[in-house]
Amino acid sequence: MRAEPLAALAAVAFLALAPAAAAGDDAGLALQVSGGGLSASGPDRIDLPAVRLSGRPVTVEVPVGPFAVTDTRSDAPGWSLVARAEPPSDALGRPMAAGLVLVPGDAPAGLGPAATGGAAGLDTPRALMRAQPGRGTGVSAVRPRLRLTVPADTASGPYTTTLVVTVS
Amino acid sequence: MSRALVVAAGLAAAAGLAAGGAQAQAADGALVGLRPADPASSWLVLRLAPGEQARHDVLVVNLTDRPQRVRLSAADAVTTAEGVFTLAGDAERPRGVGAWAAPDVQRLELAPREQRRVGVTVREPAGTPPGDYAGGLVAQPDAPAREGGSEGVAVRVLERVGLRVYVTVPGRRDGTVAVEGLTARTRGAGGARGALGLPGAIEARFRVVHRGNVGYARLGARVELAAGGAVRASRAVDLGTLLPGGARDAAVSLPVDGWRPRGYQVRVVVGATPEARAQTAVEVGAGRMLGAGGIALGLVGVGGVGLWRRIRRAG
Repeated sequence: MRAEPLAALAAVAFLALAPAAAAGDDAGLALQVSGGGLSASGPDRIDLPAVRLSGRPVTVEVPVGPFAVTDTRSDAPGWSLVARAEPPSDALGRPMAAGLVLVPGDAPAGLGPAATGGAAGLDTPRALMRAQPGRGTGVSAVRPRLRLTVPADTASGPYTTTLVVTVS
Repeated sequence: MSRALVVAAGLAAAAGLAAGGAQAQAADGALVGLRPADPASSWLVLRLAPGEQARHDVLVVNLTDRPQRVRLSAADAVTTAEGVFTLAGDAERPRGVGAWAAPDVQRLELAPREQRRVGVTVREPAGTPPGDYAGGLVAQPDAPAREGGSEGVAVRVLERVGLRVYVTVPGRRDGTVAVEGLTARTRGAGGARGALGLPGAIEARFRVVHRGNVGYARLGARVELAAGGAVRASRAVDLGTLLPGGARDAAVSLPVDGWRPRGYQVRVVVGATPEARAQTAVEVGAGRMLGAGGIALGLVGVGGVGLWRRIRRAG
């Protein structure tokens, strides 16, 4: 009668200790982490609000993003996130006489653009974020604003443009 | 009658500034990763003699749970106005590394979470002058833009991931940069200084032009304001990345103290190899101060004459 509980206890102890013993045979833990290296994510489309012109320019401004950069490279060589956009054009391809303006957002500490911080036109490349070597690993996100001042003499109709965001 | 030009049929923004939440955004984006197949490398860094070529593998990674078509291309390096490195757009015809680098495939369709190894050949043209060259491979989604739905201005966002490619062509290395167009002008101050015509600051503007063939990943400059043989103020300037043939404009404001008119020297030293230097002089004008002093002396003189006459009459 007393042998049965002891045997059961021994069996439970064996089962409990067996994995630990097996792990103890090879104490090292091998874990392969494979990432995308450098990648970016963000909205794939932004719709600026409709405007109604009545003889004066109208300015619209919206928050966009967040635009996020993921850097899983072990040596943290740094990177930049830069945006550029042509002026919006109508269905006939006629460009609006005004371009998108980037209003910088609050980037994570130390990852702000080198710019003086003011709003800047996107007809030339503008930095959203940049990481100097040794910084910027993991996920870093920024949420800037886009501004567009529609000239008073703009022809009616829907307009489109492409905001090209490059991380490198 | 106001001419109602409706950029889009909507009532959203009749005011001068419509801000916030009116825009719609789709989340996620492309989520394409790009890195060298060699896990020890972050970029492709090559040393190629003219006419040589090199082959490397890169990994293109689909980081999403859906199939994704990706386009691969190459582009030259450019910098923003502030000196931030980036890769040129599709519309800019590559002439350097962007023209020399060619992936084995330009288009690929990746399964969810797939990573694909792609070979890249970099062919250095014969006769390429020595120096540093930069560019990169670019991976971007190859899907058509989502159409319709917008009544205002629709902004398609195209995310590109670049893998930098640095090529050094051996030979004589030249880091020469030049400081051009250095100007200095006074900027007004408020209060008593302003009333006396004394400036609150001196603003220096200049352009740094790269005349050599060495790429500067991060170039700095120091601007000093000196007077009477002593440096009165100085500022460090981050010129960012400066590629061969590139140029960077800079503007610095240096505070001016002291209450007497004098001549100042503005000196610029760029930390290139060799250092580049320039200087110019600026006078803090005494005109208004002398004018104020003259008026004060005149008032004292008139008062003195009046007092003298009164004393003579009384006597």
